[in-house]
Amino acid sequence: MNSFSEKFKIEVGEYCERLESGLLQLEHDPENQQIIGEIFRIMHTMKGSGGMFGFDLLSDVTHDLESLFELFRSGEQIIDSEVISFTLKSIDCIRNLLVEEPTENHQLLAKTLKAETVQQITRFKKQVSEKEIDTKSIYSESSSAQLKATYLISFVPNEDILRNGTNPLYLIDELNALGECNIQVSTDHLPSLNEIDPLKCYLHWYLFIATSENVETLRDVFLFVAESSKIEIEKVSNKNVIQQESVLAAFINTKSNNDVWEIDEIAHEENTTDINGNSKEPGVLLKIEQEQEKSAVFGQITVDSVRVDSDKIDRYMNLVSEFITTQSRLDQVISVIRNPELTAISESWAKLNKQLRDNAFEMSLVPLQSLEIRFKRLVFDLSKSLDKEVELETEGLDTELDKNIIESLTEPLLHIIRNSIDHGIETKSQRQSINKNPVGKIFIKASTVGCYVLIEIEDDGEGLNEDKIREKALNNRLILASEKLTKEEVIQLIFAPGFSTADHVTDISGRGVGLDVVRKSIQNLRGTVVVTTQRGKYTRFSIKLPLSLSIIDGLLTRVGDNYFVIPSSVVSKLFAVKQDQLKKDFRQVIEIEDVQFPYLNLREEFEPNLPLPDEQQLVAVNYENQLFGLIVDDIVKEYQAVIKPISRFLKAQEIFSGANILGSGDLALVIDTNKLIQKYS
Amino acid sequence: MPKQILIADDSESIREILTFSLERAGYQVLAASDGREAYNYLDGRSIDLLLTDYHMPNVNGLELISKVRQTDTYKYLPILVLTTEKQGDIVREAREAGATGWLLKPFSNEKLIQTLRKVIR
Repeated sequence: MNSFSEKFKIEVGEYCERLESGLLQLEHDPENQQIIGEIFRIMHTMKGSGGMFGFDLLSDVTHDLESLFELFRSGEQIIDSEVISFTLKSIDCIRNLLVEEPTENHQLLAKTLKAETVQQITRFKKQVSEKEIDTKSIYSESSSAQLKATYLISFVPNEDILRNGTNPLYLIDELNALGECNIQVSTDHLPSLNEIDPLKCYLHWYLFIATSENVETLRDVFLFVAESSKIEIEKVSNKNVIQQESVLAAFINTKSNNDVWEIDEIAHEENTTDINGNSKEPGVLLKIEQEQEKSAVFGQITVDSVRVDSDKIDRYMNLVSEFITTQSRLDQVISVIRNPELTAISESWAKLNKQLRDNAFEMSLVPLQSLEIRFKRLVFDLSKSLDKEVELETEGLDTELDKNIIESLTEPLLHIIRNSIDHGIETKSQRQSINKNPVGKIFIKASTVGCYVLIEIEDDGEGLNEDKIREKALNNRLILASEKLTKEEVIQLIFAPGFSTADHVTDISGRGVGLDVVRKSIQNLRGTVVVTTQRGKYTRFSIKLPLSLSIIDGLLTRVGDNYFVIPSSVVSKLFAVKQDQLKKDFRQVIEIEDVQFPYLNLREEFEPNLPLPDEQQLVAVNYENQLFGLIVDDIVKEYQAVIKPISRFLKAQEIFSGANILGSGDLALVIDTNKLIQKYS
Repeated sequence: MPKQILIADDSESIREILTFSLERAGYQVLAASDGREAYNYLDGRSIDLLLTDYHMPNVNGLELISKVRQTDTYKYLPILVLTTEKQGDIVREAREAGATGWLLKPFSNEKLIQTLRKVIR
């Protein structure tokens, strides 16, 4: 929280400067409504925000200053130089009042300033009611825990309630959270199907609720709709009678006969009432019984799959990862103690750990299939509404991904498909005129490549128009006319923020927007997205994502005094190399076992000043279907690395994708070999 | 997919604290520093709630609400207005412009989430 209040202080400083310059301008131009409006707004903001960041004195004094400027804003009064110099003086006070823990002096200062402001106000407006100057809402404390009482709430929403974005079901949900509910929907006002206006709400609700909250809290639920809707809250009983359906039924009965209900008159009947026989409101009650019966039946079926709250899986994953971190600390200690018995235990523990990790992994993996139905639905709906015929073909949707990744991936994928259908695939007649199959095709293919999952979405539409993209990018000032870009670079511009190629705006994919968001979401998952295209043939989006975000098998290496992790999944072979072998060639290529490797000595990148050791290790990693050598001083071990995200200060660089804390407490940075090689090759 | 909330407020610190609180509560946040910028965000992307300040430079909260209600895509978007307790008129005006509800400043994190849950799940 502290950084917020620091930030706020800086902001108040800026506000004060703006106030000062505004006030000085007003000196010459006292009726400038724009400036007065600006001052009013700043006062208002400081008042509102001050309270939130704990600067109560600030919001106190600006409250009155705001009232003062309200007089001028409405044009009721004209500001004079006395007010201007007074306000300038109060700005100095405001700066002084910006302390987290005000002393008595501060209190006094605020009090004086307030009094003076009020004086100024009264000078302009003889009658200012006490109330208006000093209103500060005090939040009512929620009622102390009471015994539960039962209420009947009838909620008759205004027919037009949906139009301003209200969803009445949320309100019902909110009530449900406040206590035990018995909810009944009245469809009495539902017109016949051909008369229904889908934008209107015809339903009424009757809710019995047993709650320890007071009536005000219940009313508060309907705060936003209270004015337009009919809401009645009546007490049924001072006890919780929600389960006693006979009492509820009796209440409704009494109400419908317009009789007077005596609270708790019949509550004593609770033990003797026969639920089935005497129920006079069969609708709800019967239903509830049936539900109960059903659940009794289902209760006997044995269950072989369990639904688990995804938060629980996340927590489990997190615990497993902590477990593995602890394991590596244990290893560290044992390597010093060298107790054979302990070593044996640790080894078998490590094996269990690995199984535990794999198990946890499997649990959190979800096949892409879970999204298939949404893809299909989208293709169906869109092609209908755009009058295009589109066929969806998929391959490898059984590929599994971390469920967190899938969640964050859904929207980007749908967005790409939407774009493909809307902008990519031509209309039926267009396709026919250029001798293409009138039925367009979207092809989604997923596969696992090393530790990555590759998802390709391809349409057989008109492809991207490089010239048009270039032109748009120029118009939108994303590039300069002088910039020389390759075709590939131009095409990737569609991912730039604020880019748009659609000739006309359609409902479906807006204005060609959102590809910037798509790329950002994918980058947030440590993935990449590129687009390839051929005019008139296809557009293909290729998304590459890591399998999981949290634990990887890695090779711990040392360069100088620092440790780096190279993901095992990209490592092909390890070789020891001598310095004179490396020095032989200036093109940074080394020949081992008749194979030539381009290589990069990490020493040169990370520790250029230390003298080179005689022998180093070459880690041959896979890079774009060939081998590339990364030279390190030493290979420490292969292990499971729990990856922690790196802080935002390191976000600007790309070659490290995460960090791992070693048993010794040292830090090992995880190298994204693709990015590293790209950068230096 | 987390719900996405669009914030429009000219105070950076309010934007930050809202972003912080909302993201911690599991929402995705887009932040705009005035009504115009906020309106520009309404370009077809999926937005589940607009949380707008009343006083803002360029396009103010009221104008923003009216403009949103005139779009096809966001006609029924839930909108909450940020305001302070004194301005009963603002609440009325905002409602007439089509706001779903309002949130009184200063507010606590609990109050924010509680109010939000009236209009978005």
